[in-house]
Amino acid sequence: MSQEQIPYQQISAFQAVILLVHTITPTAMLVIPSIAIGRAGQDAWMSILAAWACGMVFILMYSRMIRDNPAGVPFLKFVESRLGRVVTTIVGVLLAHYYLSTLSGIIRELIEFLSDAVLLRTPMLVIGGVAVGVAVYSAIHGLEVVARVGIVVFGFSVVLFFVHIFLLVDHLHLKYLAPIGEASVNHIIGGSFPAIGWFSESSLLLLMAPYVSRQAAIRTIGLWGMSLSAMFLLLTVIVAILVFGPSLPGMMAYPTSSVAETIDYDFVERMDVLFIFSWMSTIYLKICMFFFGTVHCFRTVFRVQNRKPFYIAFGVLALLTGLYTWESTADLSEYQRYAIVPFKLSMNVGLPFLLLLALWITKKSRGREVDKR
Amino acid sequence: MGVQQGTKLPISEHLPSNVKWLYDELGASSDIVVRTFSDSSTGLDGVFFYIDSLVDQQTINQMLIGPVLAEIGANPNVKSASDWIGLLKNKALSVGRLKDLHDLNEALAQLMEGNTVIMLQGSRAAMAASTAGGEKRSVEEPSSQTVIRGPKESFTENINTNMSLLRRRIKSPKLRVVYKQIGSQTKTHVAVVYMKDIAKDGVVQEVMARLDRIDTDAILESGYIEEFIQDAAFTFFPTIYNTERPDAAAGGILEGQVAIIVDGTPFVLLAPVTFIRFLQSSEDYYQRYDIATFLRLIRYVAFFVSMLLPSLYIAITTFHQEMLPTPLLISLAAQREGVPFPAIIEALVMEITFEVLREAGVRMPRVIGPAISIVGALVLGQAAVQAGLVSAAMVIVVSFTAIANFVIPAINMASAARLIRFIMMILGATLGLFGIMSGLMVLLIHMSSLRSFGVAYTAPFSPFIWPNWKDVLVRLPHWAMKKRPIAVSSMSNLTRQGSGQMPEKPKKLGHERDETRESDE
Amino acid sequence: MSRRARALMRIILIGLVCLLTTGCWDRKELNQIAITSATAIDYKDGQWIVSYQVVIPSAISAAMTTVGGGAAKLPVIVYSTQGKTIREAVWKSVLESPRRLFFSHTRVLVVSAEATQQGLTPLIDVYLRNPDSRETVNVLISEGEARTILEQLMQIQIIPGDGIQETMVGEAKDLSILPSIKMYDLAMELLGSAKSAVLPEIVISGSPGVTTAEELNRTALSSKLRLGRLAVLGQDKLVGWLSRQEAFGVGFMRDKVHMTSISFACNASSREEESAFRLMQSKTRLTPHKSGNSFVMDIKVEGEGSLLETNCPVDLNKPDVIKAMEEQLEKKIVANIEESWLAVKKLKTDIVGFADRIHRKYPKEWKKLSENWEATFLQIEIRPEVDITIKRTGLSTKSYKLQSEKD
Repeated sequence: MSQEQIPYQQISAFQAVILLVHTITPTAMLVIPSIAIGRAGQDAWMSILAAWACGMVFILMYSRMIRDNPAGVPFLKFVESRLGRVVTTIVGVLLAHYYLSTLSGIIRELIEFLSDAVLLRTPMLVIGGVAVGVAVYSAIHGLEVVARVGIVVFGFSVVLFFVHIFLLVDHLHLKYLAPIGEASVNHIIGGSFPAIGWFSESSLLLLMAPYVSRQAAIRTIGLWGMSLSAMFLLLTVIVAILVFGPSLPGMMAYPTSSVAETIDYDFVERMDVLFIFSWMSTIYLKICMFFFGTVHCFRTVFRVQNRKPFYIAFGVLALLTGLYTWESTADLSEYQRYAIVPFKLSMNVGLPFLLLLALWITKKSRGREVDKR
Repeated sequence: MGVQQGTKLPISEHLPSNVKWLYDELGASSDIVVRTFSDSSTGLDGVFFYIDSLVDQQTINQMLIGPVLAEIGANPNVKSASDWIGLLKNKALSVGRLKDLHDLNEALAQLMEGNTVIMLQGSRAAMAASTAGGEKRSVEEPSSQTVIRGPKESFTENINTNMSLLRRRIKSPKLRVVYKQIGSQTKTHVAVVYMKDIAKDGVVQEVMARLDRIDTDAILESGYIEEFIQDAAFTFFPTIYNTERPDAAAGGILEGQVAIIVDGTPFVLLAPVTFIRFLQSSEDYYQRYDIATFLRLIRYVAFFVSMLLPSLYIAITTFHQEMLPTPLLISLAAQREGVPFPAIIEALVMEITFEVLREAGVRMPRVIGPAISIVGALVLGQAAVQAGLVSAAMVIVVSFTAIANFVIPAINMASAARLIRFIMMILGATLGLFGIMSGLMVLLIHMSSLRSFGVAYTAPFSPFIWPNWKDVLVRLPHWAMKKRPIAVSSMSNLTRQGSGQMPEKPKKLGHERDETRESDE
Repeated sequence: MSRRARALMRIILIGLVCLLTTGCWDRKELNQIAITSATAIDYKDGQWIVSYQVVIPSAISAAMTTVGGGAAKLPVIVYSTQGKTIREAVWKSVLESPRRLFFSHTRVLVVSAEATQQGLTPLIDVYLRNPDSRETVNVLISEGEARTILEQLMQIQIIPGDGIQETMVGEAKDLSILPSIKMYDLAMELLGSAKSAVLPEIVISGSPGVTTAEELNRTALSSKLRLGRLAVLGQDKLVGWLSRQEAFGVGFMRDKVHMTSISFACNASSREEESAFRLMQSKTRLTPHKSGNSFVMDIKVEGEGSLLETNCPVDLNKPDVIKAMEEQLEKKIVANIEESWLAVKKLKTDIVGFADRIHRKYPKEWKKLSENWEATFLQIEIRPEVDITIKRTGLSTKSYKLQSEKD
């Protein structure tokens, strides 16, 4: 399989939207409610709306960048053709590093959650190993297969998500949303920061776009994906507020799963384990997507040829990074509250913005060259 | 055509050397018959060469030898061998298929088919008359895929009978048949059948190419061919469908599939195929659509039950007891008091016992078979529970799983579920629901990566083809299924029936119409 | 075999061996867990005493299969452990229990009044932090030692812990005098604007306690588990008690009344309450208004239901008769609310949700008020208004008394 063209992998627009949703939502639903409600109280939903608006701007930027990328050419190759080898290598290395860190962060987050909520004694290595194993297996098969799996997982988890909200109807108290607007603007923006950081992960669109069959629809795909993710996150946050009030979720580690615990209908109780696992399948997809992103950057920059051994080695690397970078949950928590957002924003927004400028400039100068001839 | 035996060996004019060559090639087997005939007045010297056990003796006696002998005395003027050949062909040999031979290897091949070779002294040409015969089974009820409503014919081992069963169902001239011979020793006849404008051209060519690539000694059953031409070698899931029923094969051909009929087995292969096809039964289309839909949904549930139930039971009762309602938990806990083994060992022992019983039931003579398997299962299970070796709930789980397995119409898919069940059990026992979920993800990824002759295995779930959903979870009434499934049929020819055929009440009621007629009188 | 295949085989083998030898870490077989149906928390001499009511599955399934449901064997056992912190006490149970305690099916948590005086914050933290204790347990308070509640057996429902929860939930729905408080309700209320909460009381009425199987095998038990009064907590500590009457009024003010039965007099002059009314639906709206330095709280109660019993000589076909009855009901409920309000003021704790309402309606003033809410609270004046509709009168249109007085 040569590096230059993409071998027969094509995903439809619908599949692309679903993949994008799965890139953002799974860990967002887990981590953000606690932080956002902790900072903004019952107005956390406003934070999410603000983040949504930012997310749409990001998408517009990404779709502008990818517009000139011809179909079938990986994004970094396109950058190389415009800006030269050196710049691409730097960009590629930075991106690869970003994706690797995020990937290990996600793996660690998954391990933490499972260890806290369900599998208390199982060593982290085993949980992480299984998760990484599945991700490597999916990466070996390619993006198209992941897209197909995505549709099934999406259908299943969305149905369960709405069933779970429906079962909670008894416990939702609208009064908890009042008084509206009590939090100061500072707090609302503080609550929206993590969400903005997470929404910026939609930059994966840049790497995914060359594989989409309908190139003209990229912007629509991005906007739809972003909106769906924001909607799911919004619903999760609102449900958490409506069930637990404005003060409690801020101290909970995982309000989303605690909410599922309160369902109580005759014999349908303690179903939170079921919902956890259905939603965990979406996290698997996210890991697969980020794995794809990381190896894509690495392979394009370093021109690695052999797929399978590389993927396996890479999986091990990601797993070990995830396990040993943060010594304790507190370290991970601090990273997620403070360090991760600037990191994400600089890589997902700052870097692409610079690239956009550079591409725009080179396009102009290229245009001038063509005119000269 | 299989492996050739070297260069051409032309028939010589010297009859005895031809005969000797053929005789020697066959190793002077005792079932060779060399029937000579000669006419001293005209100098005709000929021989009927055939293998006794392969031919239909009556055809040879009445259609070949009889008429030829009758012609011998009647034509004193014919002198040359080539004239005789013309005469025999046009007047004597009363057989449909008559082939001209110029090569001894070809003659040998014809002999092995059960045809009779007729050679004349002085002629470089010979003839082969089709006289293949032998005992064959009559058309009976299918042994495996039975239905309550629907045709009760099944394919047999003879390829001609099978072709006739298919041709009688599809009387369209667009039905194409291509014969091949595969297997260097068995030289098995294989027929590739498809509908010209409905099957995708690419698929047909791919099937032909793959069949041509097969290089083996023996093709004894269609299963051999299946393993040679299937898309993925290492997978539990079958990617080629097989059926014993002519109506199922005809249905598949009409939707764009390619059928491969193999001589010597009643099981016909159909490709390309998607996952859902294995959970459909031909009876779905004969019964009414409401019951058909209901039964189809039951089958989907049964598939997942037969794959996941033991592992879910093990995972929930050992890792996630909080998911059970309290009375159930207490009941199960009470049952497990005194049981020595952990749940996974219990489950594995019961499952393997059940598999042994099932396999034994297949091998036993018909008379005692069913009785022993039922008695064995019940008595064994009951006795084990009373002895305190297993808990009663485990017996229920295992038996329900086995029964659910029988609901799956296609045995190859049911076998896939059986095998995957064990892997899921081990995953569930080590990592609980997390393990099962990871296993399901791997399975899903694997299934999504499978292709059957270019068609995605998990269509129409993903890629999501909405029109195909008419026949997946539900079975829409026949008048609603206007188009053929996109995944399999050629895109240029999708419409198969007219629109607006939903049954409606007649505008005037029957008796009203009669009344107006009466008033005319 | 090719090198690749051999390497693959080795990897798989190693993986399998690892999986099988180290064992499955989180696996708990059903006969290794001690299912706890109820927990009790006591506090004595600086130590938390945790008691567990553990279910014996074989006794229960045997009892369920025998006709009549009489427990020949004891369905539960109770034992306690103590420690400086609650979880230390729980883990000390390993010293005496052959099986690990399994809390996921615990239905009921009984705290003693003494423990509540110590403060329930550590308890709530335990429940929110640990994944195996569910936040959906019902919390009840007992005035004496909480452990004795666990030792009491019940008829009809074999597992007493389940029985207590079923009683509690049923009462909150059908009689609505005492509310059903789950652990997360408690946690949320203590974090709310008023930082106060209520807990229903459970008592053993009668004596001696029924703790053995023989004592259970009687038609009339010598003592029974029963729901009692309402306990009031301020800042997670016990502040006082409200009687059932007062708790009923509080229920109206909190909008927690679902269905209930009320007896009322025939008319204003008579003192005997001879009619009974079943309230099927009720809704309370609290609206605060500013009045000078303090607030006036409008309490509007709307309810409807059916008449169950009446000994007044009345003809229910006449609308004004119904109207008169409604007026009687409304007067009674208003009196009840005012009585409860006085009792609540005596306890100086806002358990009726006024703080929340004022917080929501006047968020800016709330910031100042929240510093000394108690003072403002005591000055609030309530204006109760009740509107009851008797929708149905059952299968008789005239009272039997009327009929019998006719002749």
